[in-house]
Amino acid sequence: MRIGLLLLVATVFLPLLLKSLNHVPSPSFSLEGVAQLADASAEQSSISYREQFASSGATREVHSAVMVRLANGNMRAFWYGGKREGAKDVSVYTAELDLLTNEWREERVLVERLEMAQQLGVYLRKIGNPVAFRDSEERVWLFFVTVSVGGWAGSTINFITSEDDGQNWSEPTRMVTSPILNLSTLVKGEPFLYTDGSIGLPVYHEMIGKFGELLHLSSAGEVLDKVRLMSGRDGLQPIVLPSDEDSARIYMRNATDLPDSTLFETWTNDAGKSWAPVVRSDLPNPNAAVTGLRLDDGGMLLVLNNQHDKRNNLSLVFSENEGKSWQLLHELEQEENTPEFEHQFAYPAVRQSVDGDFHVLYTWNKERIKHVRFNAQWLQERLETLK
Amino acid sequence: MMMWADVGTFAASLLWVALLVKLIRAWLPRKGQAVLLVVAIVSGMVPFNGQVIGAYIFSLSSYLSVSTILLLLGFLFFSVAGNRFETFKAYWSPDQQWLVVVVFFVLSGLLLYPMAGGLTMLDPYRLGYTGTPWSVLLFGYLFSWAVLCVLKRWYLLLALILASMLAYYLKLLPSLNLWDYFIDLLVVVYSLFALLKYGLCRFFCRQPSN
Repeated sequence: MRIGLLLLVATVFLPLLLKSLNHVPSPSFSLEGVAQLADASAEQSSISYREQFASSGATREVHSAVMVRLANGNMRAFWYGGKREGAKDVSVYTAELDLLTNEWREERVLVERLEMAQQLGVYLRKIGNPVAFRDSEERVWLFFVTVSVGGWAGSTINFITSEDDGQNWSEPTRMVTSPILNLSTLVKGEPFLYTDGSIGLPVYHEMIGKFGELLHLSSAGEVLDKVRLMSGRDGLQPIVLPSDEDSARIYMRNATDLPDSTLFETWTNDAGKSWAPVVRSDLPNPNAAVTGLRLDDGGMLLVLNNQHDKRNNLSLVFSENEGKSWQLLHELEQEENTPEFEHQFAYPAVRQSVDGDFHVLYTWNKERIKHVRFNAQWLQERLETLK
Repeated sequence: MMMWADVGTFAASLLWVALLVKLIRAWLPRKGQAVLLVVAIVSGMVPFNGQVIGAYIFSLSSYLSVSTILLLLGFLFFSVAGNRFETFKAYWSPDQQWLVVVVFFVLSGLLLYPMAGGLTMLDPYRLGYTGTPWSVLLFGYLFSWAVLCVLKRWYLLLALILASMLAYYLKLLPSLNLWDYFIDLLVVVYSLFALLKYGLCRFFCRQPSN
């Protein structure tokens, strides 16, 4: 009987052994998200820099805006809004930007707590950060955080997809990303594509430890791999900036609240098979989210709070040497705090539209989502001033 | 993807029914236990604020592992079947068989959860994604246990491991991570308490208890 059982065990385990030994090669980074600077600026003649609000002020608070380029050329934004962060009435809102008129169409609720709870078959206490991107088949993906119990440390990631530029959406899928009751995985950094069509999703863990991670998802949204970027209690909300098919840099929010806190930084030169030990960059960070774009000349453009504490400044900074040095390009916001009021310019997102313009969205004093649009010529001119 | 939610809610409902049966059955005569089981199942189907109890538990527990589902089903089966399957039950769950299962879950939990929670840069949960670097280590761990189970005649644990492996191949849960099929936090916490109780009884009781 024992021989028979041993044979049974061998038979059951053989496929697992073969699968374990057959290492799936890491896909290369797609460069689809790299912003085109040279071509776009050549086509444009005049400098353009415009500001407006993307949200209407329909909710008392708004936060965590992101944006995606649609197949029709327009841009679609997502953010969450409600009475306050974490309140039960918080929903994810969406609005479309008409690229030609530069006007935002009326916002609408996309993810509503009770409806989502019904569809997911769970109890939901609150809804949090959304992130969006467009895959190689022109599907728009929206990943968003939900919490059933406790604070943000109890978060789970879900996603919905749309095949018609965000008019209609799929049923939600609840992702399994953690062995600890599937809790404490959150999103903020924008997803990116690999050359094989699979998806990279920067995430972070916030229960006891605070650290960034990178999920590798199939084109169907299943988690294929999870890479830890750091351990400890210090780093959140990674963003990934690929420079070529094998190389990328990651920047992470510094959660330490120390007076001299700076963004964390790591990089890979083997398509993410290994990441360098995380180091502190030279960029200040007041425990706030950062976003960025890789430019086609190899430079990096970051949008961040350019000081060690408080969020009353939001700036564009540029590096042409892989982060060895950074230069201030422009202050999007700079306001003095008073004892009565503390300004909050936070959670930026940046994307390039098909016409070559750059769009920055950010939380403006938690009241509105602000939209800053500038063209490549404006950016080129700012870059010229640095030389 | 309502199907996956249904799987999760079903498993969580099993946990609810098993908890009710475990808590109340000592006070009921044998005949009353079948009624209790029916009441427990029905109570799991009644919606509160639009969700059944299983959905609330699923919100907290997430997907239970295949091992836990099988143990819950076994517990409920023997609760209803009463004395009719005592010989069968005695074969599958004498003290030593049960103790090995508990030790397996505690050891596996100690290997997985502290480091998966961020204690180190190493994340053993990643080993569960087969085909990723070092995932062969998890194969080695489980295979060693399975062979040991055959040699030592620990058939209950062997059955749990093999069933979890088959469920993994058939992708009966939404996760592609092998850990999620044979272990979850609830069964590890339960096993920790069971092992603690066993250890205390070794010191303070005349007869070891399971």
